[in-house]
Amino acid sequence: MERDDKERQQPSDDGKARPGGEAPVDRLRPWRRISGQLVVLIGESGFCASFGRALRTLAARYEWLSVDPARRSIDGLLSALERDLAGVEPAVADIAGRELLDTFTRQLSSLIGEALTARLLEQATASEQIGKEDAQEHK
Amino acid sequence: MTDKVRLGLLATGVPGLDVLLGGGLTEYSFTLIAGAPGSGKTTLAHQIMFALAGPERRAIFFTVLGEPPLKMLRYQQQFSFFDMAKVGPEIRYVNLADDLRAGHFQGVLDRMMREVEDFGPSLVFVDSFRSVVQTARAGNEGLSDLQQFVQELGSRMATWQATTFLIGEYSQADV
Repeated sequence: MERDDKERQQPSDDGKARPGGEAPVDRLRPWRRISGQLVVLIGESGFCASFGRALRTLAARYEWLSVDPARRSIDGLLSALERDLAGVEPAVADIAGRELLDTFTRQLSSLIGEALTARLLEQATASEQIGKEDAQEHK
Repeated sequence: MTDKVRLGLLATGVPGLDVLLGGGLTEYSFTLIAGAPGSGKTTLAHQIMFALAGPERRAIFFTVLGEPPLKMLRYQQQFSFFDMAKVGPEIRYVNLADDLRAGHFQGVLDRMMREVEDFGPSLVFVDSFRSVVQTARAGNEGLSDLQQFVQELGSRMATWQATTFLIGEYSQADV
């Protein structure tokens, strides 16, 4: 734990986080919404399988994303994601977070089509869009 | 006081079926859709559901341990009756696999009732009901519990005035 904290405080160019006084960003919010909507349809195990696949796909590019097939609960998966994202530069975390969402959505779309995916994720997609617009305004 | 209650009939939207049924399915009935694997039970249920569901008559489709829900949606949307606009506001899909894996009928029933109370459907589908039977035979719960489950489900759905469909893989010998 101590080692992790030290790593996070090292200014570096390898994507690791620097110390800062910025307000914490809730990058898990869209996932909580999406899981809330999809668990009803596919169950927790179904969501974990889909999420795990997207995570594994993206971990090829972002090696710091931890992939553990033993994680079988949404809470466990999202906690691990939160730790992983907190361990890298906020900008990198934002990009990886968006890519994970895109990968998940794309993989879901390839199964049930874009229209139905959009319909099922309507609320989560809308809130994510609002988040992006907010981020643009703050730049 | 001689007026008898009129039994409403629901047109299924399936060509020819309403003629065979004498005009349609009786409202608030408890219907078993049985057949061999791949015979089209889920598709028939979907055709009926999409024909009947609307803003004033919502439907819940419970999936148990049969075909994975995403795969089912992948195939069902190929049919012309599959109206995507109805998914969400008028038709809700609910997966009960996790509840059934816990192995208690009561837990499954309680979850179903929570969903029914929350969404207020007039139509309820359970696919595949056979999964519940198989769980009983695997020894998680006894057959008497299964009978109690069916009885309780039927009773509760009748109270909610929900026309109910149980879908299951049955051979002629089972029936």
